[in-house]
Amino acid sequence: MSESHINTAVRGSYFLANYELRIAARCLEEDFGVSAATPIGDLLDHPIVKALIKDRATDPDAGKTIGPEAGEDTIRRLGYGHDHRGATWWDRTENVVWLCAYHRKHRSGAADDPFKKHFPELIAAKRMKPAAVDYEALFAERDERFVDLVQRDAQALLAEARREPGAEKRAVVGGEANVGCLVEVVETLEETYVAFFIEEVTYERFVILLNAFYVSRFEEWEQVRHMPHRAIDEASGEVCYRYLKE
Amino acid sequence: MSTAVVRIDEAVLADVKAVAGMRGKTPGDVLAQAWSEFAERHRAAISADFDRVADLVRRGDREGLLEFARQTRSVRAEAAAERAAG
Repeated sequence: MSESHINTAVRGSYFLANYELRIAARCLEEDFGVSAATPIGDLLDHPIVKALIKDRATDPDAGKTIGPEAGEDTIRRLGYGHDHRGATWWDRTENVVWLCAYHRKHRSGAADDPFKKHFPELIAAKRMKPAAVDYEALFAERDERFVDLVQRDAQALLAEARREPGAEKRAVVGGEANVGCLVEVVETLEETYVAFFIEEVTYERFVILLNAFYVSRFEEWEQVRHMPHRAIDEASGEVCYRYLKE
Repeated sequence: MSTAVVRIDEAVLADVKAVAGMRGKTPGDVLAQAWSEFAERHRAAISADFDRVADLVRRGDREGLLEFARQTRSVRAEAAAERAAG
């Protein structure tokens, strides 16, 4: 994430340094009573959204559990004042803390105590966690950000690598892909190595990413297992391609 | 305005879905190996996609690039939702 986005709301996400905060569509429609397309920026004055930002800004997996501890599937409590209660889930794969559910009139022990009724009912019905529609919206925003930033970021990284041949330079490209780039000059040939992590780069982004470095044919790129100064970290899902330019 | 018709090969789409389903629950080395096999198996289709995207980049066709970027979004979203559901 670029530094200019940190602690700002853009469409469905509130950006922190290392992850995003989002509200699930079901929660927006049924619990907040607003459209699923409501930008999170429109809800920044809402008590539970204030709590989401304040309490999850430093620890995405903070808070007591709702239901049993379930490792990476654990749902956690969120609260603001006496009345407002929420349920969050830390989605480690997508780097998102989801506000999955909200209840505005919490009274401990009352018939509609959300920790006894609303939240357990959502879990039992398998409606607590984000659904495909939530990921569609997340990926749509990320795709757009990637397309808008990738060319500029890749060219800036390539220019930096060219300034210091033989040294690997790293940058976040397209808003979220951690990319390494190294340029080596051998006589009249310039070799460019571009390394990235499969977890962060979809197939479409792979095609766009390499073309953002060099508008090229696929045959001009060779997958390699070593950069000049190190082996590719395949244990972490890293992949590297080399481009030769005269 | 985009003029390019860009459609990812069906076999590529199926493998992209498989790789998407592996995210978050598969060791990195297995993912890297799966990628290498994917890239080898689909060389011709990837090559065709490279040519289309190269053309879009040359023309500065943002809408075309977005159209290309969104093609596997639904299968990735379904895979992510299945993973979230556990």
